[in-house]
Amino acid sequence: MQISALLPNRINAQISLQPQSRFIGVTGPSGAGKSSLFRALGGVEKSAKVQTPWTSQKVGIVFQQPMLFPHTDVRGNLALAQRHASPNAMSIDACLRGCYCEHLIDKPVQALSGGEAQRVAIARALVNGPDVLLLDESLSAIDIFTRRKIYQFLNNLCVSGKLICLVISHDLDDLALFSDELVFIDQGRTELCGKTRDVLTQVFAKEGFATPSSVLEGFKVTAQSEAHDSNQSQNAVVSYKHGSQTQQDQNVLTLQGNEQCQSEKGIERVEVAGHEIFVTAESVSYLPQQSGEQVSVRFAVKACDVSIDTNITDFGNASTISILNALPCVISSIEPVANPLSPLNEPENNADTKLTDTKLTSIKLATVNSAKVLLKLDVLNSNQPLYASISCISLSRLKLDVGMQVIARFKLP
Amino acid sequence: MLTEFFGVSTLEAILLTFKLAFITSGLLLLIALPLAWFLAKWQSKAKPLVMSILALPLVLPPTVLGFYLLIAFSPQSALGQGWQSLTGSNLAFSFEGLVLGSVIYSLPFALQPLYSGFSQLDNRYLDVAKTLGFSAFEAFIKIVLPLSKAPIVVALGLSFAHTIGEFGVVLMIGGNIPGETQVLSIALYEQVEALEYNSAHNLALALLIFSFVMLAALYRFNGVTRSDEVR
Repeated sequence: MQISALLPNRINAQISLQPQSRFIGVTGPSGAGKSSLFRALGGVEKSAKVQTPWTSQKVGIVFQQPMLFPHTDVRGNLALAQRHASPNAMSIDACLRGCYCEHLIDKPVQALSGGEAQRVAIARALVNGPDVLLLDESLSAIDIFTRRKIYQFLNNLCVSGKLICLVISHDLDDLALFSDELVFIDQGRTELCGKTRDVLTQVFAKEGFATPSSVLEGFKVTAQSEAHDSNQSQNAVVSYKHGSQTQQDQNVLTLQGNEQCQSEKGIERVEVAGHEIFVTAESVSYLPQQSGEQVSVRFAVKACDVSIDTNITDFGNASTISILNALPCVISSIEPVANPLSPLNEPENNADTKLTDTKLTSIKLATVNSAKVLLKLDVLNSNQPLYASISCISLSRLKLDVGMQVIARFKLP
Repeated sequence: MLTEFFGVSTLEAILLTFKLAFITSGLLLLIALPLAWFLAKWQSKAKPLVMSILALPLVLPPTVLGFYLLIAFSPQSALGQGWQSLTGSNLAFSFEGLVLGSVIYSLPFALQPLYSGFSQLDNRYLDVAKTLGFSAFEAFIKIVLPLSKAPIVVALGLSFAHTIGEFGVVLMIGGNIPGETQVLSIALYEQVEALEYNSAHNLALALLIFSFVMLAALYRFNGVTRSDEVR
């Protein structure tokens, strides 16, 4: 999928995307030309020269300012959008439900808060039945819980093939969780473009983020394979829940058996590199899939939510901590993290301080003016990297070094 | 009662004036709406020149405008000749001539509020309308006009009130034919000339009250609409 947009003296963007990508994140610094790009793609910039694969399809656009027509109420706005709706457009009720604004239907536009107006604006765009929807920071004023639910709703529409979404956002966590591919725009040009994980890694390196997120993908474990796993699999999490602990542990598990089954309500399992990860519906997004394929999901792990365990023999027996999720990894690099709030703690030079040799890191880190380090971890049997942000104290206490095998334990939202 | 208060001929002048004002303001709205929309969107070096020409009636002495219109309406001019061949009657000193003169004279009063209203309208509403599949004309009818309610009412009110108070232009092109071209202001002038001060007082007071009520209503409407927007 090739997209190009040219606006004289403003943007000259060439974007190359995989044909199966349906939810595309767009980010970049303020004033980079993201909104101009969307205006060009949306067909509202007369002087723009645009080439897209969706020339004969309907393109909807939602701006950061909701631009609800103030002369009518929410119902009136939706009715206006329905005048030229596509034949396969969703009903007003379905759009309102998906955008969590059913209760706003009879409200005057002036009575809506910023977040409510943004929700209605998205619903209005969907009522029109676009094939492609451009969201220009259109969820920026919505609280994180509702925002994630609306993203889930849009992502589900994308996965089911009804919609292609291009989303501008400065929230990299949102984009990490939902984007099939990510585009980084700077000074009107496409600086980075590709798989979300790869682009994020480069963006984090470029912008010097202290707590980047890693994006992991896996297969959703179905009910049958769950049964299979619980009986036979020796992998970490399952053996922890059902397996060979001490008698005391077994008693606890037996006593709480029913309760534990109950407590799994709302928890789903995802297989990553042969290991089961426990997720909630809110912490994953679905990937576009072919019929007959296993259901693929994606989740984002913040580096600050990952802790390192050096006791690799006890992979599945971590019975004394609450963190359920674990992946065996090898440390591939250790980098000091700048504290963005403290000018004194600026890294001296990333190229010099990046620790990739096998000398004891604690000695080298004595020269590094930083409180935290970022570990890049290669998940075993997988090409998916995971980041962990830990303190220098932990680094020297655990004597961590490049090439060392560890267990990454992490929490998900 | 009104006949007793004003007298038959004055009442006739009142009715004629209101008829003229209604027709003029209606016609002006039809002309000024597309014209103001075009001007608000038009980007050209010639724009200040065109805007100045259209605003001329604001500053030009009405007699100057009336003089030129009188010449244009005469059967010797192309306009007057064309009109005569079409209708068989003279354009000068006729009600139709009065309407045409009033439309030209009051044009800036209808045009200016609409022009500033359209200029201030956020273009992104139109962008949204376009992406929702609206044609430019449909967006104008369904989005622009409802959003420009206040400027439209102000344009209507101002052009109506201004036509009611017209004097110089009417005197030049309409003369003083009772029932045909004698409007309120001319009737009042005639009453003063004839030293009929009682009738003149009644008429002047009625015009004063009417103008005040009209303007107060316009300001109130504008205020309510603005506070709606702020909210």
